[in-house]
Amino acid sequence: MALDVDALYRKYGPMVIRRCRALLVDEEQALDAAQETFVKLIRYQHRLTDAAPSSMLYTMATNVCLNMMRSARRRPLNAGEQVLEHIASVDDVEGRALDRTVLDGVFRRERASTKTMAVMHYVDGMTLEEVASHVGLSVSGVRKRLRQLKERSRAWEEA
Amino acid sequence: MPEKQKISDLTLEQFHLGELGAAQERRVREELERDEELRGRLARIVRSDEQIRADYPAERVVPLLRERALRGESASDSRAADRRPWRIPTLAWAIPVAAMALALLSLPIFLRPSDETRLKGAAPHLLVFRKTPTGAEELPPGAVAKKGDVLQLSYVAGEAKYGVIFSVDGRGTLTWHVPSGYRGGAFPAPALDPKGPALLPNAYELDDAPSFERFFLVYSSKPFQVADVERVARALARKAASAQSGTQGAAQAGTQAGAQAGALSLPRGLGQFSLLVKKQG
Repeated sequence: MALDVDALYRKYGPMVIRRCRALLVDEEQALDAAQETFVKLIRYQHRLTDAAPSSMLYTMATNVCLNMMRSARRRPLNAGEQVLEHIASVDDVEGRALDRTVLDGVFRRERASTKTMAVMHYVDGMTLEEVASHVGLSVSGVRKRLRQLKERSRAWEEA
Repeated sequence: MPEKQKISDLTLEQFHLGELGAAQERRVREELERDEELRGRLARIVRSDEQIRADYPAERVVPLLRERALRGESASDSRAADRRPWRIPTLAWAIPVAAMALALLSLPIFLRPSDETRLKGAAPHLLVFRKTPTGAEELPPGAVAKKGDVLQLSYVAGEAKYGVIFSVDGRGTLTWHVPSGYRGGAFPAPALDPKGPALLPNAYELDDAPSFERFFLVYSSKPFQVADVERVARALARKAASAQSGTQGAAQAGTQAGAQAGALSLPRGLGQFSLLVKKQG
């Protein structure tokens, strides 16, 4: 599927930048993350099969921000950020291969990052139904993945 | 966890983008009618759209995103200079001696264009600086340089909006500086920084290629494809290589003169500027 990056940026660039600003707060980091989101879009365009660019880009931007938070390991500024930081720092198997696997998932609508779903649900306040709709999974699938993430999180805290 | 919003940010974004299904759109409309806070959120999105489009317009950002994708970089290995396209409308590119750039970039001479530069006014052109022990000097056309000299390129866009920069040396090697790493194929010429002179973030160390190094800026006020210039650039590089390997004689001298001074046969609508640096020894 050919990708009109120019048209996608014009239409969705502001949304992606806003999303990154909301998660990362720091303006420079947010712009970096937004840039990275579109660079990944260009790089993976040959795999693009998604017919819902806004959901896809929003999910990708969330994922990129989580990766940046994880690598920066910065100190959270407030309680909301603490939740975000906690989700970002959970060391799951999926997380270690996040860049490759999650992007494949986003583009193929097979699997979205559990951590991204967690942000949508716990930080953004989306219902399970909304998360499921945006990432292309069933509600029970999202619930199961979030439960598994919580279990991994508990194990990580107790370790 | 924050208080749950009836309408999530993504749903509101999708409403704003006109991408919701009929049922969801109706739901958001109904909420908007009764929820003042939701109307405020939507108004902030509209205002933010305008601001972001003004600060980071597609004409400037998209070519740079493509260039970064071409170079295979990720945010984790990007440096400040690579992030600059979001804040300052300048080109991001990489050339062989990145480490040399920092010293040159900090030199005040780059903020003081020469008399010649001022005389050129708004015409698009290149500037070449050479690092010296105490600073940097601007090289006039035809200046002599040698292997190991560190050069820093800069350009003045003038009325041009899009451009590419490349060089051809006396051995016939074609080097793409803008877009950096270009290897052929469909690729739009990057947007130029309208405020000049615009420094490129990295310097360039001359190798042992003989005879000359010629730098080109090809520009236009309208978008164009790098491939349109590449064909012509390759022809010039072949000419330079042929002059270098040929036997001494009038024909060979003519070929070499053409490679050093001849104009490129560019497609209509494209302008050009070149600057020759002669090689010592």
